[in-house]
Amino acid sequence: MIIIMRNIIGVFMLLLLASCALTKKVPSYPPRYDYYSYDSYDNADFDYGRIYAIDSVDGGKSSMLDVFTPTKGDNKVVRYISYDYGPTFDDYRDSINFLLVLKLDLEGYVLDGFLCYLQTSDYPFSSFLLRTNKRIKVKDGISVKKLEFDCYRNSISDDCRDIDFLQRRMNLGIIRFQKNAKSR
Amino acid sequence: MNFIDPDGMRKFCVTNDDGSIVETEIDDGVDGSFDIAAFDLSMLQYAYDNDISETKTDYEAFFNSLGLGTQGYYLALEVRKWDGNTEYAYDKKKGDFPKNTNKCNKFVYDRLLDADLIEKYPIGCPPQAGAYADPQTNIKAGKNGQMSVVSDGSVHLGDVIAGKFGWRDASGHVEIVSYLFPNGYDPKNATNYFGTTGAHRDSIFPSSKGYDMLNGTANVKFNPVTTRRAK
Repeated sequence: MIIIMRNIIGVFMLLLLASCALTKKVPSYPPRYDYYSYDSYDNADFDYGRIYAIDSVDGGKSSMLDVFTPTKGDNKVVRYISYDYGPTFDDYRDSINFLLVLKLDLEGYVLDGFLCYLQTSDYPFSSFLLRTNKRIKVKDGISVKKLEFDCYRNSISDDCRDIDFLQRRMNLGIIRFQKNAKSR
Repeated sequence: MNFIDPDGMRKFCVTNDDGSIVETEIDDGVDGSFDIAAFDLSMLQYAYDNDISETKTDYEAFFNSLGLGTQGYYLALEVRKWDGNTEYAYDKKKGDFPKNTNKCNKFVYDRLLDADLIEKYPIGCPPQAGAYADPQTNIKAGKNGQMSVVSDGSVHLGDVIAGKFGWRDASGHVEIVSYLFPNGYDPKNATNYFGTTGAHRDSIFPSSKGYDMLNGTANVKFNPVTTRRAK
């Protein structure tokens, strides 16, 4: 009797496991990213001229990094990058890097910030750029969500306004300080 | 893939029971001849089975139901001329689109603009693939009409088929129906055979991409997928 009961329970557990496996949801959005310190600049500021003209540059990682390379100023600019690899347009697979760039005051509070996809290739690029001016102190382990990014452009015709799009492009994650990040 | 050329569908021959030839002609204003050998005879069977009589008017109606003789037909013919062209390649600048950008939406926009089926959008801001795919998006009309959402599941020549997908670098994909019956006509599955032409990473070429987007057989699951037609 005990053996029969054990077998019934065993079969039941197996069925339960199979059911869980079949109904396991595939996440709609990527897992949270870790944004690692890439470099930081003292006495710096955003090169707003280049950022405002982002739609006039070529696409691609180096080009986007150039846009967000700071110029001289009175603040601190820190850049963080997340790393991934996966499917891209037209069934290609490629590196996926997001750039989080923050301008901080002397106390480490955010004055201005942008979040962009470095391999961005949908045009105009500005449609997919996110921005924040949330006054928050950046600490190791802080969630990107707390920065409350929103669309850089504010036109309702932009895809950025699409909730699904916005969520996907938020690519939320955690900021990780790295001791060996380049200081310039 | 052996595409049947609807460009040759203007003249249509049917053999009567007594062996006589009935010839009808689709008057779409384009010169050309029809090669019966290249045409899948099952389509004729379809015509008989569905009581389509051998009159010009009825055949016109039948062919028009496929998009022949319409603005979409001419759009399809125009789009086919771009097969193999690399002007819209990812790593090339095309008009206001810089290098290293996807240009499937730019290609569709330019063709619709040429046909005056879309209003001129601000520089650098034609509708993105995801916008075409969203049935709520109003694609602004040109002087010759507007690309309106098709809701009956039919596919005509010149239709724009767009699918939304969450790639990191693109909102989706969009192409134009440029061929019907690439593998022969199947009367039971009349809408399931078509080829679309679109701008891909390296060049423009026809493929089953639009069909795969619409039927969920693409490598990724596009959602939503929307068909738009010149109106």
